[in-house]
Amino acid sequence: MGRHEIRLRRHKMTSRRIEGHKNYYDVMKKHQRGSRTRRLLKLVLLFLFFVLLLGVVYFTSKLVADEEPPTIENEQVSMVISGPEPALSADRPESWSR
Amino acid sequence: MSFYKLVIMPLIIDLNTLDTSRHMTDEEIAAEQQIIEASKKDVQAFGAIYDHYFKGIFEFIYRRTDSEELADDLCSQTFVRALENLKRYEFRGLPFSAWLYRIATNEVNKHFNKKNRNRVFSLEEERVKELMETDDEGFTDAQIRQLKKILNNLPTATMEILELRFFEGLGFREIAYILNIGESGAKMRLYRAVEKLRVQFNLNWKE
Repeated sequence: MGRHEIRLRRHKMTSRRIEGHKNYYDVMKKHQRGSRTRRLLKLVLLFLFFVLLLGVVYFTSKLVADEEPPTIENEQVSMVISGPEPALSADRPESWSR
Repeated sequence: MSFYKLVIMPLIIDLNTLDTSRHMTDEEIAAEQQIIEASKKDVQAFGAIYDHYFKGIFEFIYRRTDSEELADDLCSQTFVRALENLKRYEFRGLPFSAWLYRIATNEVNKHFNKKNRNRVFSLEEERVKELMETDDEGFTDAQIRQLKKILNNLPTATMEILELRFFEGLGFREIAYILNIGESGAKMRLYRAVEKLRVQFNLNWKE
């Protein structure tokens, strides 16, 4: 059983009447509008893709930098800071050194 | 001289003299293909195709909608879709109209699915009379009721084949392409429908 309706028409539509519906200008206009919209959408998507790509690159580099172990230069600095102060040893009483 | 003539100048074939796709020879199909290739590069060339097939596609959609405004809208949409996808069109040895019919069928189906309404087949009594032998007075009310009942009871897919074969005059290869089904399947469905009709009517058709 089909889900359709059968109608019988007494007359065929005339060629002249059909010609009245012909409008190639309108078809071209719709096509141009459609292709403009599609081009714009493509551009927006491309822009969003680059923004996303930049974001990924930025956050990845940040993450890598945070995870980096302390360098040798940093160790040297800490050694200098933790060394004995010369002023303190000068003020030491003589009995301490014996 | 129109662009249309310029494109196929070496073959000198005027497609406007052809009534429908079913009369196209291989040379004419090849000439049409040249216009399609030209249209892929310059959409202005598509105007010739539009002029040639507008009437056929409009009539087809009108038969499927029974509304002039809707047919106008869907017909224009069909040609816009064809233009949008022209670069993807692949020549398969069939007239370009087969592709247009396929798009038109999809547009009509999409419309009815969206509106959730039953499909419509608005058939010309004149053509029905040609197919079924009747008196000059035409069908009686009882005959019309009977015919509508038989056609209503057929599956919609079969009705589509019946319409494309008897009202559009298309070949089975084209019908199979348009409906995206097998050629043998299309033939089988049509023959079954014809047998059902032959029980009640004298069908004026031989394959």
